[in-house]
Amino acid sequence: MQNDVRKLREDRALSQGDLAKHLSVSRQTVNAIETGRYLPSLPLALAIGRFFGKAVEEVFHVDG
Amino acid sequence: MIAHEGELVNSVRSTFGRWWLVLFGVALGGVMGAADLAMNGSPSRAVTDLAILGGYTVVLTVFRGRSETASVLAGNPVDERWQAINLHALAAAGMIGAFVALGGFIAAEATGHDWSGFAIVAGAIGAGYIGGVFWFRWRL
Amino acid sequence: MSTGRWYSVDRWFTPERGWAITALKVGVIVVVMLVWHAFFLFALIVMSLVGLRALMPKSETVSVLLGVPVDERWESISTRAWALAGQVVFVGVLTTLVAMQIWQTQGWGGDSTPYALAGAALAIAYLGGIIWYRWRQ
Repeated sequence: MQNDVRKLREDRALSQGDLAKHLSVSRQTVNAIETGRYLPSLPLALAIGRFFGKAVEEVFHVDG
Repeated sequence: MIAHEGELVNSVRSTFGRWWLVLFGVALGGVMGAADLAMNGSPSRAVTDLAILGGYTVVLTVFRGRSETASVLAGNPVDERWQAINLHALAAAGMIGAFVALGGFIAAEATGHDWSGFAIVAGAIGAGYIGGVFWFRWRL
Repeated sequence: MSTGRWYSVDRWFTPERGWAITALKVGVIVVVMLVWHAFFLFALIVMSLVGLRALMPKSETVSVLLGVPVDERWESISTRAWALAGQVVFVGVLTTLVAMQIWQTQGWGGDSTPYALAGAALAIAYLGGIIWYRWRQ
């Protein structure tokens, strides 16, 4: 699985800490999601999509 | 503790707030220290037992606001990733514990020592695992 | 709950590795039974494993018990079951250790070494697991 979380976050000039605060998770967790080490649960993936105003499949995708 | 914590644990936590873990550590250290004192008659060993368990829980409680790792060890994972880390670490501990118990059983049997303790631990892990499979099969 | 990379079917938990784990489990049981000098138990265990293997295509629970979960839900069930077993046994081992120490205080004999060893193994494995998975996921 790959995702565009880092790109979307940087487009909005947010730090990992800012995004973490919005999603109620830790900064390390945002970093782990961005680097693909951690696959978020469906509720968290939905929250990430909602935060960026996108559908989940626009943020997370199987291929690059 | 992962997803479903017992009511007893929750009520202890709500009663003693963030210091419940320290109280638990001091209580456990006190019991072990008292047993050590009665068995060996050495106050220094009893104090060491109390200091190790009490100190460990004090350090975790003090640092859990600053360190996410400490928060997991204190039983309060900060988010779902840390819950997953905790879950996988517990599962790994269960598996390794099973192998240690089996290895200890074989070693004790081979050297003519009493193997019943290892057999009980291995049996408990096996029963816990099989029971867990049936429980979570129904719950998930 | 997300399943971690370590347990993912398509990454770590390949069928080959599942079979290797099953073979290891069978090997351990065989060794235990041989040491026990109880061949009828050995035969019983082997026969039950053969029976479980025969049931494997029909039962997902049997697949998990043999170490080859069929999908991510069953991986999650297996992981949670191991975690539950680890927690329950850790609490049990600690309680028994304290009880054994008190027992020995009264001069009633007993050996607390297995419980101390198992408790230490569980604690070290748990702490090591936290550090390992923190780095891996």
